[in-house]
Amino acid sequence: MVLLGIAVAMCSCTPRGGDGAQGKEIQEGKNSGDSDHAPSGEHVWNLTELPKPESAVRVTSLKYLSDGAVRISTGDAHFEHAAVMDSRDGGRSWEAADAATSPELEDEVIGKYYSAKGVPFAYSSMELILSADSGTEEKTVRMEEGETIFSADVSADTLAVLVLEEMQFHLKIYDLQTMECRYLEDPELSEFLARAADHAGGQISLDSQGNFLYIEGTGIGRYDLTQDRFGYLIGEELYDELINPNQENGLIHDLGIRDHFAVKDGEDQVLLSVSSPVSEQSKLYLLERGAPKEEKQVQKEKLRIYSLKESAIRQAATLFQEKYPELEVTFEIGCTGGNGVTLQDAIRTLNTELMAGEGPDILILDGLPADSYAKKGMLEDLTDLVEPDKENYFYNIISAYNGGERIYQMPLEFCVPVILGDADTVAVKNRRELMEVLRKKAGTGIPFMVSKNISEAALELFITSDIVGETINEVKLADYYRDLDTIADLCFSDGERDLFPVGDKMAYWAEQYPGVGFCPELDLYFGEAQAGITRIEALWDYMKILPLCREKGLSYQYLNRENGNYFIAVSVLGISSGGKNPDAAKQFLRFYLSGETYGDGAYPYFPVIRELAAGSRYVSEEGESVGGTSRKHTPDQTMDMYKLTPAELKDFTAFLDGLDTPVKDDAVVMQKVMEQAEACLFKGKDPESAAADACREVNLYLSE
Amino acid sequence: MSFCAVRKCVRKMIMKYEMEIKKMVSLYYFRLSAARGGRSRDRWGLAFVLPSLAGVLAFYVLPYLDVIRRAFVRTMTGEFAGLSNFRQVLGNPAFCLAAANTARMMGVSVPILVVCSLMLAVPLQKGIQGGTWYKSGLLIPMAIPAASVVLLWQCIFARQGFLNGLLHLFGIPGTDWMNTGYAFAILVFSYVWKNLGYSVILWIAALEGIPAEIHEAARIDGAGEWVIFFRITVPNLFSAFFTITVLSLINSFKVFREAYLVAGDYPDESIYMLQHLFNNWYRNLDVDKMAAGAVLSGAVLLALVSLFWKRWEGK
Repeated sequence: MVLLGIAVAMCSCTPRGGDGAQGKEIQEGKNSGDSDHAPSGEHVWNLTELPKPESAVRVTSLKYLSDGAVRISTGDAHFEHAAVMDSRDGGRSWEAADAATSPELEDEVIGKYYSAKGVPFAYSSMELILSADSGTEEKTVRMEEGETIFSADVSADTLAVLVLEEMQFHLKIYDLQTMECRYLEDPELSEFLARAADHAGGQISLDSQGNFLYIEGTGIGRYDLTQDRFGYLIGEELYDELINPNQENGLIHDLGIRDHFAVKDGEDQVLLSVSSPVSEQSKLYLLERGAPKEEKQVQKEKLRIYSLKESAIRQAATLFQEKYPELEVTFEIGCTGGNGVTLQDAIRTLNTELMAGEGPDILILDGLPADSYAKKGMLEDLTDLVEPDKENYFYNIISAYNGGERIYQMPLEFCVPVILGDADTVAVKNRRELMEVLRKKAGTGIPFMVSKNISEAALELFITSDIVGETINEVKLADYYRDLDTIADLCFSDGERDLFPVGDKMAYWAEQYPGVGFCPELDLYFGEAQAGITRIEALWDYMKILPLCREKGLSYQYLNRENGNYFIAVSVLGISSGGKNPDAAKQFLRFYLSGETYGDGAYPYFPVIRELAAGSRYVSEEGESVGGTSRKHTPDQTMDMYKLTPAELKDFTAFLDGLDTPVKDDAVVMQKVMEQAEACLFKGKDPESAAADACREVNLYLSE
Repeated sequence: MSFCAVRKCVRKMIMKYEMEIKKMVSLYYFRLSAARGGRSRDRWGLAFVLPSLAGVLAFYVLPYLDVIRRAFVRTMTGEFAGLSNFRQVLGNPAFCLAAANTARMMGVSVPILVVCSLMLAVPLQKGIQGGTWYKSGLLIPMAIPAASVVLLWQCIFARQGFLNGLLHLFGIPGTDWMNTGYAFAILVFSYVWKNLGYSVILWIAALEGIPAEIHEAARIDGAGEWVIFFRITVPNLFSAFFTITVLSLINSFKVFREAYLVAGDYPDESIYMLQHLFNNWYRNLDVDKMAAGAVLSGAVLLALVSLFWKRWEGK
């Protein structure tokens, strides 16, 4: 016992060389970055969000001037109505700058750029113009053939230009007195630039004397132009921690897309401008070296959101956290696919937590046994929360998804499987009629549908069919396989089945469900197919269908509408009745339904919130052009697209209002059925045995 | 009789009584100390057994009692459900299939294992050349982790596996062994292969418990080896039969591991066991059904064990 005691004591007294040393190293790195000039000791970089000038939506440039002021140029959401603002208190308050007008340049990079002395300059991909200053003339710098200006900065007599050449960054330094140019060829710098290119970096900034060049990438690099030496102002690891503040909680942890930055002389302040892809606005952040902030250890209320797979709700959770900092929001993904945890393992782990009363507050029910949870009383009744404002939502979707009864599962988004084609095609109400039309139209020289559309067609036809009841009907399934085989016979060219890529086959798309499928609109528009089966997932998709209706006399209709007008629900939310914070969970749902989480119309699926469609950027009185879409990227193969007019939106809204039946999209069933469909179409398996095999596997699952 | 003779006689009697009394006293003290020692041993024994007993109580008995309770209630609401959970389970085709497969697995694999292991144990116990090595060899499958066994099975029985390769050499078409009716035979083989060594060791221990004199006496009386085996050895092994059969039954439940690792949640119908079903029910959080199913299968096992006990232990 004595010996044991001595041994334990010795172990506990052993200096933890490795760990200790490493811990210290990290701490030092965090404190001082890798700066040569960094004050040693207890200084750390603190991140603070700065206010933007009122009316500024986007920040298009920023610079520390020689007198210590900060100058930014701003614009509205569409980068118009530019304004130049100065701040003399480090970005805490803003006033209109007394700045000279910047030179005009064709195809110039957006933003009003100024040197440290406040001389305006502008640049395009090929040239840079620096305005005249007292005693100097306007200067123009042109790039060599093959070089593209990526970013530029001017301080004192130094012009630094980061050029992109053959997908690689190079730095060019000009002496503005002599206009001599030199390339920086330091190997460490080159390596840093290469990594910056891979990590969406590449902004540069000069100090006011033009002696130090800073580059933003994996960390902030500093190049001493007087001594030709590369180092780090902020190391990679520390920078990553600073710009990913919510990393631990599973929220979208990037501050945003880093647009511009500037380093103050003395290197104790760095200004960052980032833009959020969600709100499509810029934000200003100040990285300031100083004493560590003493954060009060406040016990926050927690809100746990769980999703089996990656979900768009993560974005909403991030915005919710921003809006309610008094809560601690965590977003958990059960099956990331990276750690060997299967979907089944993840569900079992979740069930154990739920049984133990330690489950999450909010469940994203996609892929979870939601009906079973609802039946067992594990989900909160949301009827009273949703029903009072039902006219604000596509309530037909919400109600149909819950079987017209109390609302336990709240579909937040949806999309619609449709059939595209002429009047005969869209008139079909079931697969039998579709096959008749297909046979009638075969032999016209144009395939009924293009071969690449067959996987999506197979999937959509299955989930909107009546093949699955309590169990799978083997006869109906065999018929379905036979019909698919016929479609393939009539739509595939000779030998095409043998060369059909795996990524276009059914099993792959079943696995990706509800991920995007094929887009047959272009084939119909350019006369390469007579019909198509696809999904309308958002207004953008509908805008691709409109030219077919306007210019080609084609139309669209619900798919397999004999038994109902089918829709696919996505991002279905449930609130756990055993959750620890039901109030916060309901608050989150209200926040989501307020529409704040959606940008200006750029959402992947239709939200159930009605007004989002009406307020979208894709709707206007004139229905003007919004560009074109093409698969071949040639002008003659481009389909022009136009915004929806309010009348068209009204018609389409009425179409969405007609949806009344959720598809049968059980992941296990789809996967097995599509595997057999693939075997049938591409491996020559006969439909009867394929149906028998699918039933043997799936019916056991369904009968459990 | 002279006085001296009388005195001698009396002294003898006194000595005799003294001896008797001494004997009685020493016997009394012996019994007293034995009783004291026994009680003390009981207490120590109980102290040693207690942690294990507490473990069994905490991790098996109490949870199982809770399972029994849950079988009669709605899990989430706690509302009394009567026999509806049992009706639901018994009317579930997946349960019927899984129960039938599990019963078939026990009915086929346990007798094969018990008989084969006894057949091997008898010669090994008598001592054959290289018996020790052979015994060790039989135990090796127990030491191999299930995951490795599964990998081996996959290499052998996969559509592109060794077995099909071998058959192909002889022009025999192969098959997907794990996704056809053959899967059951493979699973039985896997179970017997894995548990054979353990059962052989148990049989050898039981065989060594039979006194050699009985066998010798029978041989002297002219009995042959088969007569000795069936009339003397087998009747003396009934108690071991009980233990080995119960252990084999319990182990037969563990083949689920291999079946699950080879073929996942939904294997070929022939090897879809109760544990597959329970595992899948848990995914849907069908705790009521799981509890009722566990009570039903527990009851069947209990009945079976009681039957063996009565038959072979005579209790």
